[in-house]
Amino acid sequence: MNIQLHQVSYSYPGRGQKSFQALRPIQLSIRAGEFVALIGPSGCGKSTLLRLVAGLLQVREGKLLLDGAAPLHALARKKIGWMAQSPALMPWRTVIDNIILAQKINPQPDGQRLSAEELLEMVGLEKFRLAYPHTLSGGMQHRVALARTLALGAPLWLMDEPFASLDELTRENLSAEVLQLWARFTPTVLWITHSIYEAVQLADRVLVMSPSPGEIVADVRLELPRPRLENTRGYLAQVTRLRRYLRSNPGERGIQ
Amino acid sequence: MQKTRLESLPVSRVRDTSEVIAGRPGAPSGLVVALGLVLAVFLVWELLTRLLAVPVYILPAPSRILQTLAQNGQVYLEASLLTLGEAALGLVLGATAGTGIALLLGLWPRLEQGVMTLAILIKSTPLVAVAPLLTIWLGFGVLPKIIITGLLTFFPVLVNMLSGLNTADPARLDTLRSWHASRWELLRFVRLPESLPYFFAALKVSGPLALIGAVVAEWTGASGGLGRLMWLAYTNLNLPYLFSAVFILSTAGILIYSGIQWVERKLVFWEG
Amino acid sequence: MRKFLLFFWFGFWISACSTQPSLPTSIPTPDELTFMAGYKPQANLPFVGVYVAQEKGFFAAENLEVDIQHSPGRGEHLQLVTSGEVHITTQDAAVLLQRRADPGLPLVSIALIGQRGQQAFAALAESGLKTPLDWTGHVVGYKGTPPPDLFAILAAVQANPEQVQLVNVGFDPRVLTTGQVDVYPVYKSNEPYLLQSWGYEVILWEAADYGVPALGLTYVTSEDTLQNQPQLLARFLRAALKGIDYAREHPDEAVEAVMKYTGPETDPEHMRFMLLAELEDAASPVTAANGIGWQTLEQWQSLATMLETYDAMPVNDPSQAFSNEILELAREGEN
Repeated sequence: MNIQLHQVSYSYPGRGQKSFQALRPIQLSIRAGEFVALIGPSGCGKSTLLRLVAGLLQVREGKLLLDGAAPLHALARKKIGWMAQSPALMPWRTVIDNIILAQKINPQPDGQRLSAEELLEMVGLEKFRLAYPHTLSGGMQHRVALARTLALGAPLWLMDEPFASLDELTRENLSAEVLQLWARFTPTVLWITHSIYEAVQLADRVLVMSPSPGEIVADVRLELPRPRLENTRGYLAQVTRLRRYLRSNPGERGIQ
Repeated sequence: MQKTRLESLPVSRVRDTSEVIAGRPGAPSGLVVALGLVLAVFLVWELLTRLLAVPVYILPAPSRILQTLAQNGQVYLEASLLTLGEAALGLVLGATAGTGIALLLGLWPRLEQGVMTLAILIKSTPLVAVAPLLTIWLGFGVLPKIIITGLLTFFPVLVNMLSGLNTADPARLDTLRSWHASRWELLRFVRLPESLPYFFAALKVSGPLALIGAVVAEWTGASGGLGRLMWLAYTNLNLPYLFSAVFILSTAGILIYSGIQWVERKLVFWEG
Repeated sequence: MRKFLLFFWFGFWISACSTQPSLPTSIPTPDELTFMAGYKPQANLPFVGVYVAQEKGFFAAENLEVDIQHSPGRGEHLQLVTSGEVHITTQDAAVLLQRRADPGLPLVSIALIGQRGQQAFAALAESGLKTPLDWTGHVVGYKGTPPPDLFAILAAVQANPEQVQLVNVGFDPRVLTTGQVDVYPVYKSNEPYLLQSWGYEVILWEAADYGVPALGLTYVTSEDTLQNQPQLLARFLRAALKGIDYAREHPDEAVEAVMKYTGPETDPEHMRFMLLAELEDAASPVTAANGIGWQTLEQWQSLATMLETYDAMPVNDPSQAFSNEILELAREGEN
């Protein structure tokens, strides 16, 4: 699924007359199947951008198109897989019931779907089929959330710092699994992170955002072979380059 | 609304005390401690009434009360079944109404201010004043008792359920919205299950309140039940009979509370 | 399973409490009538007459099916009689006059059972108080509002009401024994028994002893019911008065009948005391001449005058507050 943004900006309505501008006009084009990381300081509007793409926020300024249609259209056709920082599982449902909840709410498949068993197997939780989330470790809970994100077979994955709350080792393992799944299903991925290393590890392309109100200050294409090894020269060069963009970004007053 | 928060918050605090009552493995059983305390109070009470020769029409000794209870087992059993039945049906009515209204307000938040004003109005009406009117309108049967109990118990349920429905985790709601879930599906799959602990916190307030409701209603005119028994005993200044009913009510209150807690642990297994 | 158990329990409860044994209906169908005693079940004579009439089949003999209810005693019975849901209730004559005046309830006494006042003022014998004149400088309790006969008695002995300290005590004769009040208003047939059973000697002052007119309990109906169903009322009254007569002859059986309506918390000896005391007060020169339940304009008028004087309450024409018509009808039907 490709994504087109034409001068999309966003302001949160404030109390009284004052509103808060979260995003400056953004011009962006993402090809189908691209793995795009979105990086920037806290509060810069990354999540706002992701929510606009997801249709969780309504686009009021500019034009946002998913495969040429409005996000709500994609939402209605179950073409979006959403994953937030918290696994946000339903603690009163078993692992399997959590995973198939999306399918339960949207019983009519629109495209190919994996069965509950396949989803479980994909994240290696076959043995925990009937366990309740509170009995699982943090990493396992995120695996459940990941399987659930894939349950509708959506061609677009929107992931808002999905593993930020996990320890480093677990985060790396899970990220590697996401990469494998991406290679298998070839969805478009928009992945928010505040870790430069994570961005370089995963993405084809990194978008760097300025502090609030956010805009895209750098669009970096990573021409690195996979699997990417951390201590290679090319890898480190990209890290250094991104760090420079982040440090020297013009900020609020720089570009008007 | 400050009080609202207070009523709805103790979900976790209540759980702490329940652990004390139920006892942790290894620690001295909470039940033993509780029984010991009750026994100690009875003992002091018994000794004081005997030593000071307190007349029975001022304060009867616990032994005298238990004796009265034992001698009139059948009478008290029948009265208790009636009162507990009224309390239970009233609680079902109040909890259903409270939950139902909370769900309506959850689906249509615009109604909230108007409906809550009405609810607070009902809640603020002294039931002692309304009870005789209901008796006049609806007669001396069980119906007015059930309605009074319902009126008394619905408010904690309404307020807690509303808090529960409104404090649903935004991340869970977002997840469901990303699947294009309807308002009803958000309610059914996230907000309602998430408010279950709040519902039980409310029941722990409303359950014992239901007993009070039924007794107050019977006190103002009934053809049976513990409230009527207490009223008759009072007008005869027959205190052993009065206190027998009080004993039953306290015991029932504890049992109801523990019962609700037990069901809560089964149903809200993920908290804790 | 849980649901099932719950249903079972409710089912049990409903069947245990709500069903009344229904007798096979005989022909002709009896007329239904609702009587509500003005207070809880106890041996007030008008109550006893109804209990005995029910137990001995006097109502059945009149082809009446009487539903006996009890009022919590805060005026509900008067409202229900006025609204027509209850045919007959009982009420103290003075209160009847007061409620007719304010808020204007259309109540009519159809038989005056208590020919003397129900209330008296009590003090412990050990207090040394001898006459109401001794009340000055002491604490006198009252229930709710100070009764007019209190002031009437004080006036009769020419005591200054300013020098009597009045406190509201509600129903609780214990305040007399604990010394919180020196004089306490009692129902002659009730609290003196309790006080004596606790081992206290009491002295009683009664309005009638000081020439203050006072009347007791009446059978009461509404003006509407009186006008529309006189025969029904007459059949009820005939059976109830027969019940009172029977109670006079067989007080033990009458107490047993009372105990069927009270619970085990009630002392049968207490009920016996109440019954005998009220039987005594049911007789007066008026009943000697005209039979039990009879009432005269003179009685009602002097009560009304006393209320006007000491309660500052205008009483409407007291001749409208009572009627002997039903009593006469009842006697005509006697064979």
